[in-house]
Amino acid sequence: MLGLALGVMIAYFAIYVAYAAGLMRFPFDYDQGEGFELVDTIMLSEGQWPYRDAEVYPFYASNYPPLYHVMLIPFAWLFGPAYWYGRLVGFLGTLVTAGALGYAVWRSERHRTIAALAGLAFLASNTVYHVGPLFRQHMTMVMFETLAIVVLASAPERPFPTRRRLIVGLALLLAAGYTKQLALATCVAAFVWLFLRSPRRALAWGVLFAAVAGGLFAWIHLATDGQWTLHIIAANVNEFMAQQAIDLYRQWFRLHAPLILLAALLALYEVYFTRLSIYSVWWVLAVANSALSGKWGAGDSYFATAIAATCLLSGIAAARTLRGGWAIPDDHPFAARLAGLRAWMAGRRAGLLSAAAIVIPLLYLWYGASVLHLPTEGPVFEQVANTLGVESSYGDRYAFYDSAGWVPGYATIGHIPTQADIDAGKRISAIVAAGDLPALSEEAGFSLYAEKEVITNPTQLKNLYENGQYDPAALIDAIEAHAFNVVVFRAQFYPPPVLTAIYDAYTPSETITMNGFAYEIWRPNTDGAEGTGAD
Amino acid sequence: MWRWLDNDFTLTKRQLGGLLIAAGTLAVVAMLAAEVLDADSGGFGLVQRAGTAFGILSVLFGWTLLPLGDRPA
Repeated sequence: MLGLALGVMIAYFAIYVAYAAGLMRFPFDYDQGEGFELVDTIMLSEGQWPYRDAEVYPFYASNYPPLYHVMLIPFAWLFGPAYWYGRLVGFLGTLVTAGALGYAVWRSERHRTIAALAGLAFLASNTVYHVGPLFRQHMTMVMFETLAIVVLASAPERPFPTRRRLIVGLALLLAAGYTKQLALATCVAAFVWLFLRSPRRALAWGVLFAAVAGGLFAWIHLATDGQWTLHIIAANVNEFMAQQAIDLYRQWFRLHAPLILLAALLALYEVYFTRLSIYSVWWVLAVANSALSGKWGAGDSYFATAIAATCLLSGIAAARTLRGGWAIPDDHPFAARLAGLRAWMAGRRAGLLSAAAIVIPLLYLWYGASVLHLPTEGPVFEQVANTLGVESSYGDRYAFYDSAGWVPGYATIGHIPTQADIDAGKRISAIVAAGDLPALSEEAGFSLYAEKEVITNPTQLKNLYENGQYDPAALIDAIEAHAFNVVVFRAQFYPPPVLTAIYDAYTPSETITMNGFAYEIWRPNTDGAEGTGAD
Repeated sequence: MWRWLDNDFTLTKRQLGGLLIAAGTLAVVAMLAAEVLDADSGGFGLVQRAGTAFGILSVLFGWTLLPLGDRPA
């Protein structure tokens, strides 16, 4: 039965590879915001910081740390602006994460099949599937976090990591934090665990870590005249929607329930019967940190770290169950009171191991059924979907079945882009390319494809505006002066005054559908006519 | 008093329990204090309720660790 569970996870891996390959062939934004990460990469490859004054032309600024984009600089030098290499690095990062999870399980319990299942279970998660191969820094952060935790985890006989492990592990934590700010919770988890093991040494290493991280922060702050701090910290304090976080927690639990239950069992066992591992501390804090998924602009991807920790902990729990490794220590304060339970378990060891050999694979099969997702069109996929009796969750928008359903904050992506989507992107790019003026587009891909300057990063302008850190006067003046040949909307993310200026100065001209999303092309009003005032 | 700064000092289950009780109490007090200090904020909100619940859970969880004594956390 374990082989069957492994087969299911390998099938999900094959779907994931097909999806990643499909995305790498697609030359435009697939997920809103990818293009701006490409712009960050291009800027850094040209020796410019993407943390700049968003109130002056081209009204652009980034709200993400630079490491992921720095890693892509060689690709930018060699291939220019392109989406495939960012997606490739994101995808490879998830494979490294899965490998690290599997290795950690194997190192702990020496069970190869469960180790493989733990890694593959991570890639089979709906969230990891649809975020993994994007041109986004998130999964690279998860890779660094996972590597850091796996490196820091000492051998059981060693109370504290060696100096070499600490240096490598903390460097990886630093890398995670400078890939995305969300890694802060993993940093806290690592130092909480170190503190439990040796408060003095944890404090000493913590001071060193803070000095290096703070020094880097101060250097970028000075190099960008404070724009770094403004965009990374101040503009990231967004509205928190508690209901969104609650819905996403429910969805996360529904999809990953068997693994979460196993992980919780091991964490509780460590709390009450052995020592807390860094994995358990990481799991608790990663799950708690997922509450930030309720922020505006956040979503289910904020659970990726919790999913990695869940796969790791549940893998250890599963392998330990299969080899009968759960035990109540003889010197435990409750040993006498639990003597009956211990005797019962010892007397039925063979039967319990036989039951475990059935239950553990069933849990992974349950997980496999929970996370069901696959394209519903194309070779093989269509037949599989028909056999399973599932059809697209998104109707005619695109061909993809996703058992996750939808709650606010859940990314509605996962389908493989078609040639029609590529053709639609080229049509929009051709419109953007017309004339000498730049376009005001909510996605950077069309301007990059048209070899025009990218103007604005709408979500960051909105972040800044909502925090009282952005005066849109110069951008509104440019809009009123028809300084842009067209406006391309996807979700109307701009700050309200900017949207109002566009409604007044531009008029909707046509709508082009790409990837199931309607892209509106707005053109300048002629003869001073008022716009349609759409809002 | 300063034993915790020794190189070979490791927190025990009892000490971890004490820390969780202290942290939970602090969280509950902070949530209630926020309500007292900013009574015009529109009632005891979801974040305050969640903070109070987690504070209480932390206290209860920490309390269950106290009987585990000097076993390393």
